Amino acid sequence: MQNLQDNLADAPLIIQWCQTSSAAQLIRTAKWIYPSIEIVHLAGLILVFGSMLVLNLRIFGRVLRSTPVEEVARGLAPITIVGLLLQLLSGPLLFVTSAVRFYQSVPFLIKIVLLIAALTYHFSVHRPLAFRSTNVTGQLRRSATVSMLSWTGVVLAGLAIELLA
Amino acid sequence: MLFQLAHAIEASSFGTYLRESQYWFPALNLLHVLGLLVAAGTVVFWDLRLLGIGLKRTPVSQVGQSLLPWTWAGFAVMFVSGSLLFTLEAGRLYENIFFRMKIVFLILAGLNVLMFHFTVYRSVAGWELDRIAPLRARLAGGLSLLLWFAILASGRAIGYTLDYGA
Repeated sequence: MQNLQDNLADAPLIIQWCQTSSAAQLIRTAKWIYPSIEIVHLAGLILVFGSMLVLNLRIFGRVLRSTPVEEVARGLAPITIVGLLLQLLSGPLLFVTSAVRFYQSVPFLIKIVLLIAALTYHFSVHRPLAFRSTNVTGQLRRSATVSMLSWTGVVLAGLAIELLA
Repeated sequence: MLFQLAHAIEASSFGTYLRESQYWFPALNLLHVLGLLVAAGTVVFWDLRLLGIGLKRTPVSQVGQSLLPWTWAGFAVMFVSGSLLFTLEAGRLYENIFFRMKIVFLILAGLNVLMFHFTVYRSVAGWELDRIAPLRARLAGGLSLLLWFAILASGRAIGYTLDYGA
């Protein structure tokens, strides 16, 4: 605990404010709140990662071969959005409870950088390309590879936060 | 009887070896979650399709045939890594309420799949292009989603209620 206090004093003001905020205190008071938020975060992950997996497997010709890529992409897109909303709402709540620990965690920092990259790539390159592809082109395949690698990176870094702690 | 068996598994040299190595536990946990992501990440789109959400323009049977091999592959990884994780902590897991709940949910999910396949799915050719699937198909899809969520939630709760550090 002493150690945490020292770390708290060293952290930037915004991180200190997160950790001492009333939301963070509320979540910490009841034992079941943090795990519940974590479960929502994981459920969102299943939707986001699962929809990326299915779309990219389609592009690689492994699933749903008789449905055009564009239709698979449009069918899955709303589910990706729901998953992302679940994650982007639950993630910050998990963060504020132990802002200092996350701020000092290397896997966490890697995860955030990868997440921003994966989101930017998805919405600016991969999704628009998949939305107008009826056939699989080399460009689309490269884009699917980048997409799969970036999301897998986010997942692995996210899991490393807990597993390496 | 099961209780003694669980303790014997935990105390076995294999269980002890897994428990005392510092790499096996995180490695098995990682595999377990990756298996989950592939299994649940594919099966949800088949469940949602039965509910008329997502891959609406693809016939139900095609979504199933296409995705289910991936679901099974993910499930196999989960099952093997989960069984090995069980040998690590069999005694304490056996007594853990969330572990027991998770096993019940898994059995229910399996029964739901069997029920679906031997009843309404037999006539899938007749309804797979309908805008709204028959009630029993929608029920099976909705129940499957709920049970997977329950398996996820109880599984995560095990991690909070077993004191791994001790």
